[in-house]
Amino acid sequence: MTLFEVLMATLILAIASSGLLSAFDAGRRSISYSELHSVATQVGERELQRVSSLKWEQVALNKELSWASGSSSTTNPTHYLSASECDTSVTLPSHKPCYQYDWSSSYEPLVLGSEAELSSEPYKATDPVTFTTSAPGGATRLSGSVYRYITWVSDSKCEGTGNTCFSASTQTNYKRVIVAVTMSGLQRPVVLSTLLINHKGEASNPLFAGAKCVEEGKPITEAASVECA
Amino acid sequence: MRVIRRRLQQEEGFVLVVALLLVVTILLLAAAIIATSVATSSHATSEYGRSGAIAAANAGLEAAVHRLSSQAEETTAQQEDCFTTKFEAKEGGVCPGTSWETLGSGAEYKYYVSPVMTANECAGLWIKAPAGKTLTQRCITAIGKANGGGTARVQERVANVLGPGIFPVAGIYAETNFKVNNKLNYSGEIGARGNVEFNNGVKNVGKEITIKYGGEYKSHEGGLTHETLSKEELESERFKLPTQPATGYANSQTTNNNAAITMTVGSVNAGREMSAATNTTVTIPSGTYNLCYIDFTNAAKILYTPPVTIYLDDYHRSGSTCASKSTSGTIELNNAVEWLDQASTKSPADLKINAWGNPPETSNSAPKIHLNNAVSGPMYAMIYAPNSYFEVNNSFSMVGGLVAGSIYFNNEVTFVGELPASEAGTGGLSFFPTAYHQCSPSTSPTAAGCY
Repeated sequence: MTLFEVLMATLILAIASSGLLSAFDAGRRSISYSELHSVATQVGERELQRVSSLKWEQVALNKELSWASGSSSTTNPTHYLSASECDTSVTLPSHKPCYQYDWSSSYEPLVLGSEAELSSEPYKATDPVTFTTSAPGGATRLSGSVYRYITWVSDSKCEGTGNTCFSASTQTNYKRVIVAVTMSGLQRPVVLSTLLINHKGEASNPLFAGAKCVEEGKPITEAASVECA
Repeated sequence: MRVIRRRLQQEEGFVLVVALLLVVTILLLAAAIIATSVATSSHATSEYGRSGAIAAANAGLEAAVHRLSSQAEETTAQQEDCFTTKFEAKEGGVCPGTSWETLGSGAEYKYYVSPVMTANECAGLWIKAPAGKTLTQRCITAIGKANGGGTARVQERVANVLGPGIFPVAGIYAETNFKVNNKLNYSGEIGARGNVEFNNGVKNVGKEITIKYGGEYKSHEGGLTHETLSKEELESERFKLPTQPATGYANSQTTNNNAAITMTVGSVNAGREMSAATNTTVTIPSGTYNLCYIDFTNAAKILYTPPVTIYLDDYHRSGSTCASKSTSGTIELNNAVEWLDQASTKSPADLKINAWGNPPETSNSAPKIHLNNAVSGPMYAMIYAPNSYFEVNNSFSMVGGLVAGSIYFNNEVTFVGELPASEAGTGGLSFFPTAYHQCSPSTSPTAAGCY
């Protein structure tokens, strides 16, 4: 074993170790980012499902809050708000403020409701809603914000003769729900969106004619006893 | 050989060999770490794509139901057609789909809607119609695509309950003509097999006013949504001239609750004529009534507790015991008559008035329902009088549905057209989802089990 051999071996191991450390670091960063992405996706999906399960009138934004553009950054969801009128060529329940739902060029008017209409919507007073995830010890691990935007859909392909495509009625138009989740470290927000219609079914669905419902606030195990309303 | 053996004995270069082995191990470890992080990242991306794609596919279902419900599935031909944004025939035995539509956030959807199903080829179970009703079922398959290459495919069975709702529209419908002379405050649908004429002042007070007619349309008001009913539509189950069933009249003629009606002034006489000259309060408990004539003049209050069904019989009906005279089968409300629904939550179904009239007469020479002045409440009711003439002279307010042979409003009518879904006889306007299924994300429209 010569000194030269030892020096060469040390050099090779040092180079290899630095590569390993770089790989470890890149892997750690990638996995951390994936965790952010996964959490943001799951939070967004959960919020989309929560909003979709609300009563039709509650699928709305609180009109008492400010819905003005709040950022010049194109990765901030509030950047796409506009106080100007939009979709004035079609009959919709309202025409402002509006939201650029595709983050590109198309605006639709926001669905706004009063606090009374949103009475049982737990997040009516806040926009965005913040959230955190906890580590096993209880310490905060990740945090982020959920932005919700709900718009009246301007659907040029709806051409029905029943005239429910575009009307001033808040019952017959359909709504677009856009959920954007931002988290510190996430380069772009996770954005999910879907459409919702007012299913005339529910209590008035003729398929359920004669069915009884459980009174609001009572456990579903209790015998159904009241008229569905 | 001797040289190699000597080198091995001296162990020269052994450190380098060990170092190289360590390097290989380290490189393998690094590769494993990179592969794991790539897999994790790919999983996160595909999870995002999958969530976005399912949301997009669900949006496709909602768009399809909305568009389908805004069409009137009136005819057999329409029921045999597929649907995109309009009714379309099959192409090569397969329903055409829509083109991809952008949802925003990089997501897209398209959908396929089957014709009215005759066999169980969709998610969920075959739906049996409620008693006395018929229904049609269609199958919607929607495909969603999202950022990250996610694709999802979902399917929904939707059912549309038809009849025996007897109101062709949720509002006013005339079997011949509907004419308004002045000031109609209206919300909802209007229909007429013949002409619709508005001379002055039609104002929207709620839902958009939509008008369908088989004859001519004249209006001094611009901007009202109106369309002609085709010959095929006029002959459809929904819009055709009805034949009234006599069972309700015949049964209530012998068994009714007429004796439960109380009046502070006036009476229901033996000829089943209910009349009062002035200042009467009439109380009608829930029940079924059979009358030949209703006549209130001046300041009458009519308190009704739902559900109330009144059969206004007429001597023209075979088997009717109403007296053969001109007042038979008519209503005369002359001045300040209030209809007061006693329910806390009021509904048009609270009061159903069926008038026999004189079939098949539908013109203004049919037996008359005449509201002369200040008939208010508003009256929550469903009035079905396809063989009667309905005339309002001044100031009438009502919430519900009205079918009459011919209808004439002279002045100041406020009418909110609406019907409970269970009462509507409209076809194709209310599709209810009954089952939902997430399919394999194949893009073939005929993928097994998901068409």
